[in-house]
Amino acid sequence: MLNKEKLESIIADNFYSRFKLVERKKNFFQLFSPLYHPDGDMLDIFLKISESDDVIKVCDSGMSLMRLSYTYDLDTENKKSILANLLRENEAFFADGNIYMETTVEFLFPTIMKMSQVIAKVCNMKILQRSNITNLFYDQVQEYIVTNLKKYNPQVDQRPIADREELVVDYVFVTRDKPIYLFAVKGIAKAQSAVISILSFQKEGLPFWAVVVNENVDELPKTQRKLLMSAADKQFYDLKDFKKNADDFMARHLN
Amino acid sequence: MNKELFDLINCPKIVIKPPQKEFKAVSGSLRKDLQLLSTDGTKRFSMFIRQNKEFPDNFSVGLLVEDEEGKKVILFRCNGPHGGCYNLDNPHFTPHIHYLDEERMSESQIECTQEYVTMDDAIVYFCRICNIQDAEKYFPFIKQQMQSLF
Repeated sequence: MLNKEKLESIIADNFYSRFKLVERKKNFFQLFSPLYHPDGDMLDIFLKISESDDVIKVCDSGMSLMRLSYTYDLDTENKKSILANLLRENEAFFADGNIYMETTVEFLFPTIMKMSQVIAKVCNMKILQRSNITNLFYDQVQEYIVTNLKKYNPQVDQRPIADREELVVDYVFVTRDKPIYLFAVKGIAKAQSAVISILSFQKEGLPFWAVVVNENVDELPKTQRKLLMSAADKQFYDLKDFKKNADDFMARHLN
Repeated sequence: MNKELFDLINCPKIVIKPPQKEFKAVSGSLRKDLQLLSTDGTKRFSMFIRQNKEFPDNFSVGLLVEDEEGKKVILFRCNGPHGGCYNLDNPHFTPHIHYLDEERMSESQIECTQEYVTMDDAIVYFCRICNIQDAEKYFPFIKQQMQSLF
């Protein structure tokens, strides 16, 4: 029967047996530990000891950023700033790709544990990958419309042609003249869908202004950019442009 | 490995954006990247090559597939003997291959391998498995390795 003492003993024995050092270079050791990335590779933690003093450098030898770079580039000042803040918050330092902490024997184990958390956070920075952030795009468009354009009475998910259920307009703003059909576009599939809808409505002779708000028009392939340019009456370059100018645009067309 | 994953890894591909001639040193590692397209034109892939400057045995050559929204998923990755893997019998310094585990959406299926030792060997093996049709143009040692076999 398991009890507290047995559990403590098991954990302590496991910890002891699963931590060891392998000397990779003189005074430079790789730590083998039961700490793993989601893909099963062990965390890359190294200990560098100094011949002149008792300072121990706990570092990753550039492996965390190398791993991150498989799917995510720190290619903007903003991303580099996020990394710098992350390291600062966790009392870690950075030099030529090497993330490190300095410690003494007394605090070695807690520093190793802290380093493991820093490595996990750095390697998880890919959560900031654009495709994850742009999943929020439609939510952000909706939030802006229902908050800032509410006065223009937006109608959501409208189907102007009764027997064409697949042709959906994200938001319709009714005016005294022609309604505004607003499409929020992120990615190739949605761009093509918006173009098909717009052209179908035009073919049916429906009177409307075709307006598109892009997640980022530059990220669409040239073909889709040309099709949207040809079909739409007005495009907002990105969400920032939409937030800055949509109210004014609506006011001019709806009043 | 399910058939879909197998087909993605093994489908014939060509290089549509070649790598730089020399490795680029960034933040403590050497890097090269290529963009690939399946020969039927339907699927876009990326290939990355990374090698740690401090420990050159820590290398990785990987295949990513990109979906329409730009999300990248690693399908297959050839690693050098960097030491320590969760589910390998030999936890020490062994070249090993990661495959995508679709349930976990991470490349956590791991196998030891004897197919390569050095990074160049790994690139040769990778290009063969991933069926990169014009790999010799960008990695001349592939041709030399093939010639040395005969």
